Amino acid sequence: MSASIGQPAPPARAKSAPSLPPVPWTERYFRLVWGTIGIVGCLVAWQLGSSTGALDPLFVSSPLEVVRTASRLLPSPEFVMHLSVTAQCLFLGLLSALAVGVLLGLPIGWFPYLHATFEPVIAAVYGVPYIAFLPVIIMWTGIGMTSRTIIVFWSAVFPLMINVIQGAREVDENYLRVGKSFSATQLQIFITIALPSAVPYILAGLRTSIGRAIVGVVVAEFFMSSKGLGYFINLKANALEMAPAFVAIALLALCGVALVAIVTYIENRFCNW
Amino acid sequence: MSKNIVARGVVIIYRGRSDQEPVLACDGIDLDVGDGRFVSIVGPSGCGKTTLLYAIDGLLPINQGEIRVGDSLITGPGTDRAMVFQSASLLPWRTVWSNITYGLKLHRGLYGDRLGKVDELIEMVGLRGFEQRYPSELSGGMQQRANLARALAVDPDILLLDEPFASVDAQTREKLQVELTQIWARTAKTMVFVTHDIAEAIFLSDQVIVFSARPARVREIVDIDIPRPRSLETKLSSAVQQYVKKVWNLIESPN
Repeated sequence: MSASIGQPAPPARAKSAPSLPPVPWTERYFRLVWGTIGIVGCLVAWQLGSSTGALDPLFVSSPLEVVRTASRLLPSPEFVMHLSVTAQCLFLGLLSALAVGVLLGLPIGWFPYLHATFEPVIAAVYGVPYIAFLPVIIMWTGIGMTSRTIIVFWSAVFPLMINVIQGAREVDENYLRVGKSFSATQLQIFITIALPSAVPYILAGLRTSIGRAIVGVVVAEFFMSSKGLGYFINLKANALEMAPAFVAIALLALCGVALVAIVTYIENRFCNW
Repeated sequence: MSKNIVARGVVIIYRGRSDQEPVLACDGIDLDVGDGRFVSIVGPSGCGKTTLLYAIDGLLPINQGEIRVGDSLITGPGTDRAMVFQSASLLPWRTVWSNITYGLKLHRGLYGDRLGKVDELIEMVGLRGFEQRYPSELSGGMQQRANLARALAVDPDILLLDEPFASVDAQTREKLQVELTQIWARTAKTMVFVTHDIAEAIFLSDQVIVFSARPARVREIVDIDIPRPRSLETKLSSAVQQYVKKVWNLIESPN
């Protein structure tokens, strides 16, 4: 393209969109900024309370003390063992809850007669706090890794399964009709329509389950273990060694955050429609 | 090979949920759609046009009468018919490409060679460059192009269209109407088009079937004697306006 002689080409900037003033960073990172202020504020208040003596350092320790203790504990093989026992238990329990929750939840939600059959059972079992099953599970499986994993599984599987059931029940009528119109078999409709439309529900259920599983693993380790972060917290707090207890608590929080971040990643990567 | 549709005395009683009163949607419909013809069904909203279309597709059972396509009685969905649904029927977790090939992939054995023709189809409906987008990233008009392509991909003898342009903005709708007539001319398929837009029905069709209010009965069959190919100017012509007036009066007048 060349402009003909005598007709000057229009200036380039006439075509560019009018520019807006740049967004200030306080606005762009609004949540990050205020979230950081919130966390740092709490830590500072804690530190001040502890070092001025307003809070008894013997009982509450202090953030700086916790950080010092963490740098000593984290490399120690014993602490790593506790951490890995808890992580293993959490991972196995959640994984089996995911497998069972999806494998049972999808058909229960998909077939109305299965839903009618199992809904009351699930509602009844879900209504009972899983801690009530603790003595029973101890009687069944003793107090090893197996029984703790069962507790984690038990605490995580119901919120997950209930979500999956709902996902399989609420498949959009319009999509099902598309499958039928293209002469899809029941199995094809289930795989190509019900399953993908239930995925967001599965991930939402997994989010809820992660929190419950962490509660489950700590409770299980309080009562039925001589290893793991839950045991460690119990041990140290009873000995009034608060800093190590807080280190373990902080790691549990990190576990939760990390697991939820993984789910969020999967959501963004695979459910970006 | 295209096929014709014959409906005789079709009665459809429709029950939304098990606790709802059944509704008489279609009350003795007779219908003849010739091989390769473009026929529209219009009528008051909620009269049972879509119900009949679903029955032709085999999605709904009929309670009395019969519907035949060619020589065979309709008892359920079949690969000889495909439906272009109203909006929001693209599977949101599939890309445009994957939506268009949905029907083909369900029956690989049947359609093995047609996957190669999808490119051509995408070109025809004007979706080149949008293959890897998700439906939520498309405008309403683009979504309905994909919806149309999905139905055409399985190369049905009969294309059933359920108000496909109802939720598309007015300018895009006119464009899509013209393109649909071109696609119809190119593919020589039998098309049954349900709409509440009278001008749209007249512009597209060889024949417009006017339904009464619910329960639906065939009120009148209007042959549209306007030469093809038709363009946007055709739509403004006095011939079309005459037909619009006629059909409008048929719909509005008491039974």
